[in-house]
Amino acid sequence: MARSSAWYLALLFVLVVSIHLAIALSVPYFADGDSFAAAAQIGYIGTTGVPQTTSELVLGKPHLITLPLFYYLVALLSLPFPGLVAYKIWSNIIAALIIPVIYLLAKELTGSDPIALITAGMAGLMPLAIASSLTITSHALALPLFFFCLYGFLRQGQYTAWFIGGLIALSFTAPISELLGLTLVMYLLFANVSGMRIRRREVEMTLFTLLYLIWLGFVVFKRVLLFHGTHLLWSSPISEPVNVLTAITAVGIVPFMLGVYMIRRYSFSLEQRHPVYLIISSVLACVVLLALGLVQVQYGLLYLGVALTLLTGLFLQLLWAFLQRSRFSGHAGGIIALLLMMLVATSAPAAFAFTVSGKQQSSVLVDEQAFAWVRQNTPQDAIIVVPPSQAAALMYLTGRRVVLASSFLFLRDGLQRNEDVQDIYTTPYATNAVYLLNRYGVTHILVTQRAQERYGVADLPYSGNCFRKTVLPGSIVYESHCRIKEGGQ
Amino acid sequence: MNAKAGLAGEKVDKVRGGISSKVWLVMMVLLLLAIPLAMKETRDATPLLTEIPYYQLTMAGVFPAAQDAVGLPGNEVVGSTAVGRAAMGSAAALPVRNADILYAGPSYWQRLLGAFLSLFPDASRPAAAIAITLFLGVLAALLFYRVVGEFLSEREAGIALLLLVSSPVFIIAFLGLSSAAPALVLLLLGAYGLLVWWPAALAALLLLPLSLQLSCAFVVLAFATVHRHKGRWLVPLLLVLTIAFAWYSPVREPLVPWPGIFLLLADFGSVVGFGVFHVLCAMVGAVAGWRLKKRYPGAYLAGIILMVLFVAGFFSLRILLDLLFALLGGIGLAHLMAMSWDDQMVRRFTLFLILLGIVFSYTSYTTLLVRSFPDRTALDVFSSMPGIPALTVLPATPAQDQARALPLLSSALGTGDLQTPLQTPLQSPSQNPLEDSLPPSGMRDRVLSQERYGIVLRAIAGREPFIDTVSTPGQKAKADELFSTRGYAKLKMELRAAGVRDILVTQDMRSGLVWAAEDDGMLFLLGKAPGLEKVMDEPPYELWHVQAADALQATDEPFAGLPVDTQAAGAQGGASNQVSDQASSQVAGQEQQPKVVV
Repeated sequence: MARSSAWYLALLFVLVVSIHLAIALSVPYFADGDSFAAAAQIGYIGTTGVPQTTSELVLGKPHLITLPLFYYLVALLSLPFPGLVAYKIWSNIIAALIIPVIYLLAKELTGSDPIALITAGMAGLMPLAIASSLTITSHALALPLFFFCLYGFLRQGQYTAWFIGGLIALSFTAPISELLGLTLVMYLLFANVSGMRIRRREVEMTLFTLLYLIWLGFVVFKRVLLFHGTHLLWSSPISEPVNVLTAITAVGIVPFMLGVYMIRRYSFSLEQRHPVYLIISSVLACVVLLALGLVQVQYGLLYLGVALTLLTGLFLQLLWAFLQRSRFSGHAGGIIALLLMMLVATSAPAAFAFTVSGKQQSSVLVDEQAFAWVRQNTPQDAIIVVPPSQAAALMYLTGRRVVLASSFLFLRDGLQRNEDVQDIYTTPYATNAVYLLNRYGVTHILVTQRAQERYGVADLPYSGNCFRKTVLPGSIVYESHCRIKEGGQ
Repeated sequence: MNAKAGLAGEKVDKVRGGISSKVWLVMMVLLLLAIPLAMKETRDATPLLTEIPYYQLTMAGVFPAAQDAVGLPGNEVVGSTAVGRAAMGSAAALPVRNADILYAGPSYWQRLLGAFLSLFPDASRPAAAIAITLFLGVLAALLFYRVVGEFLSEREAGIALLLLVSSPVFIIAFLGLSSAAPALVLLLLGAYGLLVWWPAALAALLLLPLSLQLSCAFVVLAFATVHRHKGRWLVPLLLVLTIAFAWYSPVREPLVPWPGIFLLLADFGSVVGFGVFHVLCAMVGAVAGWRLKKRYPGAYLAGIILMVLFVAGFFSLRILLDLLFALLGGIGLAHLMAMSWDDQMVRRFTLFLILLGIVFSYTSYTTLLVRSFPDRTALDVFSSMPGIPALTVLPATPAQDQARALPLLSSALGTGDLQTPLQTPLQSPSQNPLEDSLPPSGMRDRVLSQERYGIVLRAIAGREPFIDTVSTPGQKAKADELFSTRGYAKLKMELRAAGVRDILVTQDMRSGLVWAAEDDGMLFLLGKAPGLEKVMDEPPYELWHVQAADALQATDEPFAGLPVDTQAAGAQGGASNQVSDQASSQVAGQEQQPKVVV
């Protein structure tokens, strides 16, 4: 790497981190409930040195499966000043590691320093990446690790150890390592179909990766599979319908179009380009996982977006080379700049919209007045009903127990609880509600804005002597007093 | 010593059975088989792992309930001696599709085992049985090593042997006292005999039908035959015979529906499944050895047919499939070790990972076996369980049998109201209340519990279970119906008709195994219905007695506080509870309406 390139890269890194931090610190909390769960895990590790294995504040204390590397890293870095702000800062700095990794990959792909820098910048400032700065997720580390593994796979030789290290680190960071396995398998298939010479080392590394992932799957996720059965894979709570337009906007319209064009171009090409095929395979693997609902949409799109950005970088390189050979050679820089401006013009509004939406979600997620009321007016052992998406925030900020949180992998009756929580908000019968509240020992019901939106109710449909109602700005708290007695006694 | 190339292509000097290598092999096999036994003995003071050996020993007459276990009237009996064994010994946890199979009596293996164990004192019979199968296990392993050693290198054969003896299917076949254990020895003896010494083959062939379905034998023998190039066309002929035999023989194997990956892989908690790394190694071996298909066409064809038969539902063939997997796994692993790798670091990591996977698979399976039911608590509780009341030995007349069968028939056809008092002359109470309280002959004084407890209930408590793991689907469906009944009158009627005197409830049943919530199905009635009395409470086990006086009444008024609906609420919990709850809450003004109190 040229010295000037290193400086530019450092500058780009600082720029991306600054933008992410400015957005992240503009709100006091996070845009999703999972971030509170992550913050709780980081805090727990920082205090005890070991990861939390049960959800202490969810009724029944279900087990947690934690891939702890990211949490350990943030906890370690935050040791001097633990707290939400420190977690946000370090999480975003870690996420920005994607910049040097994409630079290396793009350099491998295009051989051009400027194009590699532009590609790295596009990856760091992708609309979805910017919106992710409002959350804390282990994918902040997993994303650079994934692409670092691809880099190690391409370079081989002295990078084999880095590849193996990256794979092991990735597998202990986020449940996305299957994406790497699928990418490598698709790469071999793709290369074989295209008649490309497959290097023996690639087969060896793929074999090792697959064996490792199978072994790890049995070690880490066996318990979940035993608990729920394989149908969990196909009817997973994480599977959500993908809105194609939103997805395209999230990864950026221009990178999407150029990425698709590059896939089409190289799918019917006789060029022997190992790196291109590998990146195309990663795109296809992301699409497969998203289509099957095996990865959460926002994270799947993040990986897809970065891979498409790499292909966009390749397009820029090809365009540059083409323009150099054409009669427009004198205007090549201008044309590329025009294209980049188009990219910014389409991505910036999307990034802005996602950020604004994230901030709104953050304010809805944490109903500060309601949570403050709960903290001051309920006993420590109170059991609260809130929408599952708000549960982690409530647990983190008030320390009260909930019936159900958004992640209920180890709750045998998780789906039943989900239905019961919905019934508590929507049933017209007080008897039914009291019966369900008694079943879980619930003491309070929070009718927050999120609950009103989620269940389509402005208030609970039932009332009476059984409930003491407290109206707060934007929310209502009910305290339950009744018990069902059998037999009319 | 003779130099020989293995299937994986490596040139290895083959050592033909030196004493020291045999000693090592025996020690390794013994160690791998003995570790789960030692752990179980330490944990629960019994060498018997899972409920499978309890079944075998019950059928062998070691446990006193053996006579009752033969020809259970509750199960549809056909004149087959093999099918019962196949269902239990081979696929205990697998669902059985055929309704016309199951127990008919002890198999030859069980009779032989029983005769042999009668030489020992009562207390030491389980240990003696285990010692026999340990011996058979070592013998099978040595025979396997010799057979595969005929056409594999020493390294390949050694790895294949290691894979075989660490495989869950092999372990449970021998430690479960299954009839597959002697059958495997005989099969391998037959194979070895065909290769080396014909009297052994003859002896094995003569003895094979006593142990395992002949259909299985053909496939393995085909392997050995082909190797010697003695009649290459014999293989297809044997395979055709196998299929014909399987489909048209009166000794028909149970065809079972595809059980899903959870019952096929031990790593997912199945006691009778394959180890996932054994399967992976076999896949590598299949790929690595594919180039040899022209050299051993019959063997490949036999292997494919074996797979097809297995997929078609002959799950008892999995012991043979395990041999095939071990063989291929040996080839595959040796191939990975011998081939030249571009990257030595990846090679080291890959081989280490495979070794780790096999060790992990073995330890995981061992833990599963050791923790499996029954544990010490279960054995203690079951052995001290209240016995059978003396009055229940009275026989019932055919007319009474017919009368008592009517409610069940009605229930099955969906034509009768089970709460309606029985009106036909046949159904009128007799003058002898004791006699009248009896269910149809042979169906009395049973204990209703989840199927997994049935075999041990029979063996240890000496009580007849309503269902066990080898009961027919119809019988299991009846049990499910009982478990899901919330209407007291209906439950009482059905318990009486089914001859259930006691109900064994466990914590596992309460928390998901049968019921999902505390007020699901029958669980709703326990502790509330006056005719159900808790007679034993040894956590996590409870025994509820169905009171005889209550059972004598043909009809009952529903008592206060319990719903009168006869609709089964379902044992799945949630949804059914809601239905019942909503139903009860919406019937205004009824006594059964729950009352909300402040």
